[in-house]
Amino acid sequence: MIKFGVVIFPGSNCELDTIYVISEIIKRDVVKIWHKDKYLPDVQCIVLPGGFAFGDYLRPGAIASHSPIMQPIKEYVKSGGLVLGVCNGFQVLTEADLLPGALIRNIGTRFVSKKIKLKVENNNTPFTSLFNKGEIIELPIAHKDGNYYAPGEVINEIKANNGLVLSYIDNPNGSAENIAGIVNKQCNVFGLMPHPERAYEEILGSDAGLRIFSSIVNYLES
Amino acid sequence: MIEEILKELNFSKNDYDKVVELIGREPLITELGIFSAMWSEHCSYRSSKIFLDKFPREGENVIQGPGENAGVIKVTDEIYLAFKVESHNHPSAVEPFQGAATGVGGIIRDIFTMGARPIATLDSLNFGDLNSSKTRYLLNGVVEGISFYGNCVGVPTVGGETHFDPSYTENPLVNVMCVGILQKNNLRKSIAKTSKAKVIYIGAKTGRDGLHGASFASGILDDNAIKRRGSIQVGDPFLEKLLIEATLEIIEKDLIEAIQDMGAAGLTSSSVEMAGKGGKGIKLDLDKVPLRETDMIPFEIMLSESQERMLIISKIGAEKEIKDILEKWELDYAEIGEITDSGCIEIYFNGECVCNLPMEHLLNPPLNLTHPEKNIKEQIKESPPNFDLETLLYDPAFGSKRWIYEQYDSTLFSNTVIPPGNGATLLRVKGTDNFIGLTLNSNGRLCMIDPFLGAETIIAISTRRISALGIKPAAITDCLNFGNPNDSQTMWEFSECVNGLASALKDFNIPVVSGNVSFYNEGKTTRINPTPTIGVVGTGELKYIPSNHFVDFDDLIVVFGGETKKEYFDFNVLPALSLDLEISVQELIRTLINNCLVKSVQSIDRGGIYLQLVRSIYDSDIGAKIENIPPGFSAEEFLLSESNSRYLVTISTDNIDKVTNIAGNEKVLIIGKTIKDYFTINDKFNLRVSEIKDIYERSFRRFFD
Repeated sequence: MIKFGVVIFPGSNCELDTIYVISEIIKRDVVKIWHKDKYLPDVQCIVLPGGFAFGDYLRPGAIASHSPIMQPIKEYVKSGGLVLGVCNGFQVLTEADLLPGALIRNIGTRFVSKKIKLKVENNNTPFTSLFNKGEIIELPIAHKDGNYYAPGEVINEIKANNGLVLSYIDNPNGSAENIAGIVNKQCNVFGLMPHPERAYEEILGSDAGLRIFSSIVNYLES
Repeated sequence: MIEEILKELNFSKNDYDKVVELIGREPLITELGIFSAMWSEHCSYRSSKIFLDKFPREGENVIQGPGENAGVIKVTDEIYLAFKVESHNHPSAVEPFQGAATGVGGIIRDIFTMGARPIATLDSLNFGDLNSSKTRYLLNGVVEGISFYGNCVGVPTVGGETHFDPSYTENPLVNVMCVGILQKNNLRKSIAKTSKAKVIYIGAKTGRDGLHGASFASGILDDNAIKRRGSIQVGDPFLEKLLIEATLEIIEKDLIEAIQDMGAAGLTSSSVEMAGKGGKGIKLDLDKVPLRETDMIPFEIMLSESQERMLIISKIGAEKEIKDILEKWELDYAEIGEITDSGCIEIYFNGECVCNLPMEHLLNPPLNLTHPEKNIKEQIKESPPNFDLETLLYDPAFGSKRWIYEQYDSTLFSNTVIPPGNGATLLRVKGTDNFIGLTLNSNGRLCMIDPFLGAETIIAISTRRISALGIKPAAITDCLNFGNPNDSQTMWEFSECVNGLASALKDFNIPVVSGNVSFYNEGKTTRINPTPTIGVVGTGELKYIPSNHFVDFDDLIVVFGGETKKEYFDFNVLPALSLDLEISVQELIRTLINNCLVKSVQSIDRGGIYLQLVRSIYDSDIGAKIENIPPGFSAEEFLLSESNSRYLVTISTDNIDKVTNIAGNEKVLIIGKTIKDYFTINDKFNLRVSEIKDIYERSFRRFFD
């Protein structure tokens, strides 16, 4: 059976939801990976969860991106392994140069927590294959630094490589091109600001997030 | 000389003489400091104790009542909930951002100290007039402080309330409630029972911040208090997050005997209370306490209120394993003493004994008994209610508080079923069929007009909101905010409020399991309205999750329950309250919900039927046609009535007969139906749904954007 690994930094707080979705909803194996570990366990997908790694001191994700575990994760990415970074995890991925661009303070400078509508721009990825292209989905956001920024040529390159995966319908944070989630050129690293691990059953108002995890399982098991 | 020290410590000459009498000598300076903290109102409840004994505290679901860091009730045989509300009024008045932030941090520590994972906080905020820039500064700071701390520490903020009244101009109220969930086996208490067990200090280093915090909170807010800004603690939510994880891991592995956070009066109250409750003594070596500043003296070390610190009593032999966990989370710690059989607190510094006091004297201060007496005649001005339905939409007190709660992470832990903004929040309990209903409410104006009936009404309103979720109110936690306890009028208000709360709770058969009293809420010229803030926790299974807004077009809009009368909170006579009727209406609504006979349910209180109609439209995009205003009422008089024991519900036409069969005709008043695009009242008032949404959204927000 495929196994997920969830990286725990001091200050992570979305790992409980992530582990719950994987173990109780999609019913796959999952292990915690400590930020100080120097080697990765045998896993087929790594999740960097949301939260406030190292208290967001310096910049969100900045200190975490220098954790010992990030070195083996970089090698794992090079060898084609799947990595999903959610919210603070997305910030860590940009700080670690595993994804282009940066997530800066929201326009309006305040923390924003609400459900938002997103458009699936690319369903041809291991993370979004169960969506239709152009489909509108709903997921919660909860962040203060989710304003995606990259220079124009970088954004053009992302678009040219089909790297734009999710975009906001009503931009809540000032992100360039309404960017909510992107994949790297090799299409094995996905970072997004919304929280799929909080939207996995109807009782929570949306199960769109579950389809991201199910897409990963589909990809790995086919 | 001694007078100056006593003044600095907020300690009376009478108390000082009593100390000398009890210990048979003049106290050393450290000893005097410890007495001043332990005998402060904040730590000792010396003015309120005898009144609080009137609260019902027993119940079949109660695992832990008042007297611990938090109350605990049963959800299932295996799963418990710990919860408590606490005030951080004085610090928030002086420095709103840090005051509110550390208020959140403090109450969260009380919860994980019990072995529970904190899963939710709620905030009750009372401010002065929103048109004053001072109020907006305070509100903005408080909201930012809660957002900063709560989001980063990783505990969702799922509910609360914000109200305005001139009595809170100088002394705003910031009351924070926290709820945690725990497995039965992880319940821990603050009772040290074993001699020679080691005392381990965990967390932030000790500095001079928060010095005299407990005595600061036990005096009024005059200019001197403002100068004591140095007393305000500074919060570090990241450090607290590490404390949560490390503490829960230590408890999970069963390595400790007792635990308490270092809150008000820091090391003093935590060490004295843990050893004292177990009938033991404690010996501390202050040379070992991790310090942040140089040249700190024992007096300062014992009274510091630096945040994010815990004191644990380890199980004998478990010290190494505890230290391994603390090192993994990179937390500072130190073994600073041990439990003894002496019955005394002995403190050493530089090899010298700086304190040796019997616990019993510290834990049993002389009661402060001010005779409760009503000596102020009606002083509250009757403010005629605003009867213009359209301009009311622009009133910030009436408007949506989305601007506030959107700054709080409310969905972390994926339990939030009915989100903030609705008077009560519904969480689910993963792995069970159980739900938790939470609400935190106050209404000082009602208690100013009639403290007894006002307090009963708060219980009725708060439980009504929980029943609107379809589940039964199980227990409450209370934060009692009042003026100066040495004033007989304040004590009359206090005593009447406590009696009112106790009376209603006995009728409802709901226990109080935890709480907090905050006195001295006075400024130079204003005294707050008597303000009991009530947190209600409901638990149970649900067969249908009622919506908090309109669901479909062409549903019947019904006022359910008690009779609508021309009663308004702004009048000087409170709406009548029959607790029997209230209890039966709440039972009925829970029955209707669990029989899937109603679609949406909203409890009616402040703002009447009208506010709930507007909220329903705001959250649903569905309009309403109100066409059946009972005879003898204008539309305004009817829709703004704040009579008790009522709900606004929507029912499909197919189910209306079943509802009247169960509830009786007299409890069901059909006032209209849900329609597309418009909100109309008797064809006179007519607004587009999009317009209502826009106005309701902006009426409060416009003060800050």
